[in-house]
Amino acid sequence: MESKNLVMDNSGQQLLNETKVDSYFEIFINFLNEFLKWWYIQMPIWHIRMMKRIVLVLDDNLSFSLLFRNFFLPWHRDRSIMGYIVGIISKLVYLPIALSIISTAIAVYTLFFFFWLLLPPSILVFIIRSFWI
Amino acid sequence: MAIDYGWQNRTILGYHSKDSDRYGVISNKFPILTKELEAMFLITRNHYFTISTPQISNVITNFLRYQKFNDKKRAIANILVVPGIVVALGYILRLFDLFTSIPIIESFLASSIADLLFGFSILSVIILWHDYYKDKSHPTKLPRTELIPQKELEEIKNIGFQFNRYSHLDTIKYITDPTLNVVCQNVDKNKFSVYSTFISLLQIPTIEEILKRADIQVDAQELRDNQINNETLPTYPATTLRSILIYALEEALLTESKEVRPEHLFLALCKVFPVLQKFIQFNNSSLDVLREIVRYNARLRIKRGSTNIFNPNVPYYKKGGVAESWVYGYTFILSHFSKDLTKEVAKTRDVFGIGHDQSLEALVSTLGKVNNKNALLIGEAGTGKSSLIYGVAQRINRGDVPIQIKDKRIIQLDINALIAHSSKPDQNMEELVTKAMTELSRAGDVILFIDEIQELMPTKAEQSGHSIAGIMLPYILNSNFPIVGTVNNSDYKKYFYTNESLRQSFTNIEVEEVSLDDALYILETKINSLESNFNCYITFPALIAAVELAHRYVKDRKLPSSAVQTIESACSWAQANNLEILTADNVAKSVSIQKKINVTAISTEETTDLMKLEENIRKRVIGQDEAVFSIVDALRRARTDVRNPNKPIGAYLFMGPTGVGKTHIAKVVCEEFFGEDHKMIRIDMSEYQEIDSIDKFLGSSENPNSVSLIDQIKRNPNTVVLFDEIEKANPQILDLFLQIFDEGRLTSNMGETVDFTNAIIICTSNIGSKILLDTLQKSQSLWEEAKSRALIELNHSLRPELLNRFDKVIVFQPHNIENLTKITILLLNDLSKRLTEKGFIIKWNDQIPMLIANKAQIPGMGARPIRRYIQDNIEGKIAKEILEGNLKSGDSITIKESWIM
Repeated sequence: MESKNLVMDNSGQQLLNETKVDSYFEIFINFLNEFLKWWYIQMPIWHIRMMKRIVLVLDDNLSFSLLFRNFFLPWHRDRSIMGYIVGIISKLVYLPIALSIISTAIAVYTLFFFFWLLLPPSILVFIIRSFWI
Repeated sequence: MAIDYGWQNRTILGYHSKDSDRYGVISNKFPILTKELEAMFLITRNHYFTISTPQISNVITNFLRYQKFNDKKRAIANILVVPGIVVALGYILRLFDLFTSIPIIESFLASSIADLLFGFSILSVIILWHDYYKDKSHPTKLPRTELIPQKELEEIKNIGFQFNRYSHLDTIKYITDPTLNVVCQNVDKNKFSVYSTFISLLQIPTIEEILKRADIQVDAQELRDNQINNETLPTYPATTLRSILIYALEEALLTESKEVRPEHLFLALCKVFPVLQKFIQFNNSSLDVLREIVRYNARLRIKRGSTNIFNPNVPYYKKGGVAESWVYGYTFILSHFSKDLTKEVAKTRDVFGIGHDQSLEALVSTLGKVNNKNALLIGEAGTGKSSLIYGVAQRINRGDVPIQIKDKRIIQLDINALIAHSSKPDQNMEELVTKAMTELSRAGDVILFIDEIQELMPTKAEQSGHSIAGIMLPYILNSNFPIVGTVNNSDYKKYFYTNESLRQSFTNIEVEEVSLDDALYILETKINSLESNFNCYITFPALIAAVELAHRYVKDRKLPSSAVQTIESACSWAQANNLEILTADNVAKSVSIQKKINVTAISTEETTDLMKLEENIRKRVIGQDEAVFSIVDALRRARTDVRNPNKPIGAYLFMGPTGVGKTHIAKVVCEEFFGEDHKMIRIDMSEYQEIDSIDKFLGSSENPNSVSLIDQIKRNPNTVVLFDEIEKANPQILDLFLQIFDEGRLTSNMGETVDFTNAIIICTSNIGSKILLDTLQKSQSLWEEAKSRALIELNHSLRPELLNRFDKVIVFQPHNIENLTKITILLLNDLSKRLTEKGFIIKWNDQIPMLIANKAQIPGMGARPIRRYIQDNIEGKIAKEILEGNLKSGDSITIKESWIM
């Protein structure tokens, strides 16, 4: 089978012996570039996903959204007046506790997130300051 | 049926010649392109991958320099971490004023040097963390390869590549550092050595593990013996790396890996170089097996990563949480005889419903219906019906279900626990079932699962005598909660097919036997638990053998259950024999022992036995060479596995007058091939003249104590089955033979299927005997004419569709005086053997056998009169002499001519 489609042009082909050898300074710059991309782009995205996962795990383990969705459902589906009253009261007591746990987790992780962002410059400042002093 | 690993039509390899601007598909042979103006590319369903010369040359030139830089950077970072930790410890202890009495430490900690060390130490930790993360997860992940539709493959063949429909990806981005390291270490002066690369790869622990799993032994001697050297694996210009890496990429894509790892490079070399293919075949393995192991490892990596609930890259299965039960209805009574499958499934990481994608979809959509949401999973034992409901539970946990069944619980009713609970004092089954059903109705979030639902039918409540099914029926018919049941085909016919209302209240979902490759995948998911349970290492050839042998020899259960049973039995056998590694041979031995069928590879000793089989049988069967040759031929085909595995080993019809050795040959074949202690199954077809006798043939539930053919073949599937005088059987019973001869199986009245594929079927018939005898009495030279006339009579007596299914119809020639003399010698030898055991020696001269044959022969009666004659005239006389005390142990007896005259 032969065809005439174009997959790529011939421009830019280099011979093996023409390849440029990177100096150690260039390698260091590349490393720095890669490190900063990792620290400030990849990892913050990962932290946001991690925060979402922590909220999901807490929500599931504390049955928060399940209870919230079924707020008016009677206690153990016992459709008597007592069932409705017990169901609503128990949820009114429990849901704020669960919410506060989830909120605390979000707040702590947000703090950690900012700490993460500030860590490299603060270390640099710390090192420079030690030189200065 | 061979295992289809599914490598086909997922990737297409192509080449591009820039000289002539031509494109082509690489199919059977795997070329290594050396010219810079020739390039290779790979196409998947949605992507095309390329690799260019500059990319390769850049890697060769700079990769090791980057590696060196990283090594140095890590060494410095490691050194800086240590003083940093000491300083950090000092900072902490200083908070407790522990150094006030040691001014040197106090002043050091207050100095800028300590701060500097601490700062650099934290920086080092960050750098090491970054490097660890980079090593652990490759930055770019390969996309999953989907099957390329046939239409697109045709288009590529007819029109050519249409690159605008694919997105372009650079191969180089998916190659891991360890792979590039192996490649670069083996490039010298722009020359790439395949041999040294192969040797380097063999030393990588992952590849050592793969070879161990494949049961392949590698040492220097093995390599030399298989001519793996610098000549067979030569050195190429470095430009060839483009081809090699594209092949490695293909292996990575096929084995579901997310990046190109050293094992993929290893597979690529094995695929491209014939000498390595031969080496793998020499070790009784194949590229398919190696690939499957690599795919298994890739799946294992994903599975291991998925065990951490805080890994955002894997799905999270909801468990419901601490207050889950608040929103669910009470099921206090039901909980005594049920279990929550959704909770059980959440605890495990196993994959359920493998090979049943369509049935799983059908079940989920049935459960999501507004009306008629009950489902009945119908399938043979072992097909994985229960696994389907576990699969649904897994999807509910994942949230991957329609809104109607979101957050539902699947509760499995335990019928035995219900019976046990109802037998307690003060308990009434009828009341229990009614209360449990009411609870379920109120709960509103339950899917009721009843495994083996047919067990409900005969189980009756003690007090009222009503069956549980009867009590539950109104709830089943009008339930507001879905009910899922499982039942096998015969019980479905028995209980559901006849009950219109019950049948109408369920949607039937057929659960078929899974394919061999899905069964293999299921076994792969069980490797870890089997290895830890039985303390033995399971090789992949053992797994493959378990699947193939189970499919072929375990007929009472279907895949995957039969394969799971087979591998478990083999593991148990290996444990009992103190074997640390389970190989394919071990599995074959275990199956041979269990099924009493020799499925192991043929040994040299056995080969000699098989070659001598004809000679041995001919020594014991006189004058019927055609029949002996046909049967021995079939047996050799069977043992070497070149026969059709879905039919009996052989099906023969022996015709001829009485006493010509039709039954005798069956007995001799059974003893010679299956062993002396092996019993032949003999069915006298004259007992099956009436159609009512079919129950005796196929078994009957009304008379469970009678032993039917089905029972005999179930107990002893590896034997000779002799159907004597088939012409006397009822024609409708003979119709059953069509299924046996065609499909190698027979279904009993109770719906059980028994396997005849390891049996030799011999039918005998006396049709045409009179013609044979009458014609031959006139002249011995009329044999061919007599034979033709006998066969014509046979065609008139039996239906052609039956006759057509015999492998061979053999007409036995009546014995002449020569044959009868030889038979007499055999019978006398037999008598001699028996007397020797008693301590007597019997002798006779050369004339005696001929005299006996002449004296005893009755035309048309064959060899039987000779046996009777020896009994009456020789055995009788010897017995009399013993009783009269004339013969004592050790005495010699000579057969006198006067005894015969």
